[in-house]
Order: sequence, then C-alpha cells, then structure tokens
Amino acid sequence: MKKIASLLFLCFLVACSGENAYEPKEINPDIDVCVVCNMGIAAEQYATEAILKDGTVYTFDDIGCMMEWMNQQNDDDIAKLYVRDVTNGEWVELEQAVYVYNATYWTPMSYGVVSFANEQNAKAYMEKEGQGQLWTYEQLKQHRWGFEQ
Amino acid sequence: MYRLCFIVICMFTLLSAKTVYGEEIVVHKHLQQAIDGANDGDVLIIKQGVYKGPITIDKSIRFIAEPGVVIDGEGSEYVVVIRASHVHVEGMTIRQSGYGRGAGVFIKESSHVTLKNVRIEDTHYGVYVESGMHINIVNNVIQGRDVHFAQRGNGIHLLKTKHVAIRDNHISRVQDGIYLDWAKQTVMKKNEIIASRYAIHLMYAEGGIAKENVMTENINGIMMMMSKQFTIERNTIAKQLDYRGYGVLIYDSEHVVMHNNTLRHNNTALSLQNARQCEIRGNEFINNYRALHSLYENKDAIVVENQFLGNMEDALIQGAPIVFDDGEKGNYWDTYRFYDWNDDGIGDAPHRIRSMYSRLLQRWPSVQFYFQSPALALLDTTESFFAQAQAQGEDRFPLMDIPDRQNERKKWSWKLLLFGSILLLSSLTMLEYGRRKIK
Repeated sequence: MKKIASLLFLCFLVACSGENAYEPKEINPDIDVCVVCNMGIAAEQYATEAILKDGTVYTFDDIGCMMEWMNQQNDDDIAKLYVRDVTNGEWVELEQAVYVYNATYWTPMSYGVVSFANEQNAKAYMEKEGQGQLWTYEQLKQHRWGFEQ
Repeated sequence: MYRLCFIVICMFTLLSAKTVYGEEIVVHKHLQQAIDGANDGDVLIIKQGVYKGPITIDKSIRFIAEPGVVIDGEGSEYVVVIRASHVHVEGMTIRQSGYGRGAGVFIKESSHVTLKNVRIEDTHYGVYVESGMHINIVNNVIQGRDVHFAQRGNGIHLLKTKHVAIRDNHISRVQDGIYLDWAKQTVMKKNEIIASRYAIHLMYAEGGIAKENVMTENINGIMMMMSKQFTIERNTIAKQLDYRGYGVLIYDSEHVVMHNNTLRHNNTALSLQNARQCEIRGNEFINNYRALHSLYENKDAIVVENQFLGNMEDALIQGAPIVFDDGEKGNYWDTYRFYDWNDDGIGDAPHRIRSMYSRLLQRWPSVQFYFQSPALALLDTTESFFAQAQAQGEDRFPLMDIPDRQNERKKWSWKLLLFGSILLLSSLTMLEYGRRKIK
C-alpha cells in the first residue's frame, strides 16, 4: 500500500513539475506557423515562443511578431516568453537575452532585432555584420516596433 | 540633288550598320584569366568543358557558352559573381555553390544584366540580386538541393532592386521560388514554380506584376506581405494542398489587383488578412477545400465577378464583413439556389455565405465527409430561412451564370431562337402544303 501511495505521489510530483516547467518546445518547420503573420517558420533560429499558463504554446517567426502579439494580450495569462540565440539556437527567456539591432539586419519579417544568450555572442555577431547596437531587454521594451528597410 | 544624296548615304549607313561589339574571344580554359584579359564590349565564347569556379565578371562583356559548358563552384560561396553593368551571360550549367549565403549567380550593384538559358543546380540560392536594376532573368532552369526546405535558399532572390524582369523560368525544389525583398517594379511572367515552400514571396515589394505564371504543389502560391500596388493576373495557382497551404495569401498589403486567375485544388485558395483597397475580380475558384478566407479588417476590398465552383467551403469570414458586389454585379456561386424571374442575369435574392457548415467544419473537420450530402443540403436550406442575421456575408447581386458564359448564352439564345423560328415556319408551311394536297 505504501509503495502504491509513494508511486502515486511521485506521479503527482512529476505531473506538477511538467506542467509548471513551461519549457520551450522544439520548432517543426513542417508544422509551425507564426500566429501573427501566418508565415511558416523556416528560419528556426529566429523563432520565438510564448507559453500561456494553461500550457498553450504560440510560435512566432520573428521577435517583432511576438512583441506585436504581446501588445494585445493579458500579461497575467502568459507564463513564459522565449527567444533564441541565433548563433546556436539555444532558447533564452526574453528578459534574460541580449539583443542587437540594426535596420539593415535580415530577420524573417525585417524587424531588424536579433537575440543572443550572452553579450559575447552578440558582439561577435555585430563584428561580423560590421554594424549594430547592443540592447538590453529594457532597451528592447522602449523600441518602437516597425518594419525596417 | 544634294538632299537626295544625303538621304541615300544615310539609308546606306543605316542598312549596313550592325551592333558593334568588341573582340570575339574563344575560351578553352581558365575562365577568370580570359575575363581579366578582356575589354569592355568583348564577346567571350566558351568552348565545351567543365570549368572551375568561382569567377567574377567585372567588365561589360557578353559571356556565351557553347553546349556542354559547366561552371563548378566546388562549394565556394558564389559560383558566378557579376559586379559590372551591361553584362550578358548565356547558355551554361552553373553548379555547387556553398551553403549559408551561397548562390549560383550573385549580381551586385549592377544594371542591364541578362541571364539567359542557364541551368543552375545544387546551389543554395539560385540567383541573388542585390541593389541591381534593369536585370533580365530569362528562360533559366533552377533546381534546388534535395534537402528540407528550411535548409534551402530561394530560387531567385531580389534585394532592393528596381525593374527586374523574370520570364519563362522553371524553378523547383527551393525554399521560395521568387523572393522579393524591398523590390520595386518587378515583372514575373510565364514562370513555372513547383515543389517549393512559397512560389512567389513578396516582402515590402512595391509595384510590379505576376502574370501567366504556373504555381503548383508548393505550400503557398503567392505570399504577399507588407507590399503595395501589385497586380496578380491570369496565373494558374493549383494544388497547394498542405494543411496550412494557401493559393494566395495577402497580409498587411494595399492596392493589390487580382484579375482572371485560376485557383483550383488548394487548401485555401485566397486569404485576405488586412488587405486594403484590393480588387479581386474575374477569378475562378474551383474545387478548393476553402475558396476564400477573410481575417481582420480588409478595408475597401472588393470581391466581384468571380466564379465559385465545387468548393467544399465558399468563404470563411472571420473579421469585418467583406464586399461581394460593386452595386450592380456580384459573383457566380454554384451553391446559389434562387431564381432570376426578370432574366437580368442577377439572382432575385441575395446570396448569403453559409455559416453553420463553416462553424461545424472549424470545430470538427471530419464534417467534410458530409459535403454535398442530403443532411447538409437540409441544414443549408433550413439555415437560408432562419439564419439571415447569422450570415457571414452576402452577395446582393449574385450572377446566374459564369461571367464568360453569360454573353455566350445570350449569343446562343438568339441563334436558337432563329433556328427554332425557321423550323416552326417550315413545319407550318409543310402542314399547310399537306392539307391542301389532301383537299
């Protein structure tokens, strides 16, 4: 009886931990489509995700689409927001990522904002491109979102 | 006399004149050396053989290959780079660019460049044009790599270009067949684009036309985003059957004219998503899973004189209502069930876009099994009596016949009337003749 009870308790713990982890899900280019612009997600490293508290996962092809979507959402419903480091595809929480902006950068929807897991990767990217501005999340929030040329 | 002599001399000069090019140079090996040694205006004739790339054309030359010429990039980023104006490249096979940003042909900051009868295979991008103008890409074959589309480049990629003409090309197995990024006044005509992600993808494009192209078996036919003043005319857009497939998707764009296209066997034939001042006229929507999808507010968009034939669902309106007539004419719907007593070619009652079936389909896709079944016919008929307030939209002037056939029917009706009258008259004459004979 004790064994069964422990097993049930363990299952309960696993279930609880799974539900509350809000881990990002892998992108599948054959299935995933940006919920804002309907474009299929081909450039996976630019994808972002929003996970609601009920477990619903929304995918976006560009960070700009996610920011537009966030403007129309109730913040209380959102559990986690993820972006990726474009150099290696690592998922990073929106608030902890480092950003680089330049109007001429290619991004799937031309918002010109690229995300990284750390400053080192961001600076390496800027150096390779020869231009760009380093941003924190606070600076990203101040950005007036629009399509760049 | 002097005037006559002058005219004769002028005519003689004009007749004997021909286009003057520089020297004609025959090349057997070392392409780059031959280019380096050439002068502007020279014609380089490349003899049959496999040549090692990459090569850079930085002079105004004509670069013409004899049959059997291959330029192999052997994995270098670009295979052929063009960085000069007034360049003509014709007739070779270009293959094996690098991955990442690699391209078969890379044209940068050039004008008046022609790329003709070239076959491009096993490259990341086929042709990449950056900041070019007056570029002609004609009658080429571009075939991408046999990998997932997320790992492929685009067939023809235009970035910040003006006046590019893309004609008679055959493009297959790439990410997007033709990709326009801030491209102005692009003409795409009679191209065939198959087995790719999007056949034509427009991002911030302005002006231009897609005409008489054939787009089949892609995820989307035309994906238009944030673009304006564009015409889509007489294209065949078929078999975009992916579960998220669209024949044409117009997103956040304005002043788009879509005339006389054929959209058949697509998942969704046309989706309007914040498409402003767009005119959808004279198109055929045939045998699509869903013919028309409208999302958000499509301000001042008009859908008129189109044919909706054999679609599982004619229209799904999820945003603001959409206009289905111009005040005189609407569209032809094969699901319309009323009459035209005054014979003016317009149905006597408005056509209401059925909503119950759409709602059921959205909730339970398996309901499509009942398409054209007696149960669904009963549901439709019941809805037409009671659900006026719930209709997704309405066409106030539904056409009673397919627009093209309407004139034809009128023409034939006169002929039939004349033939019938002659037949009647001859019968009466014969009857009268017979009656007199019997007397």
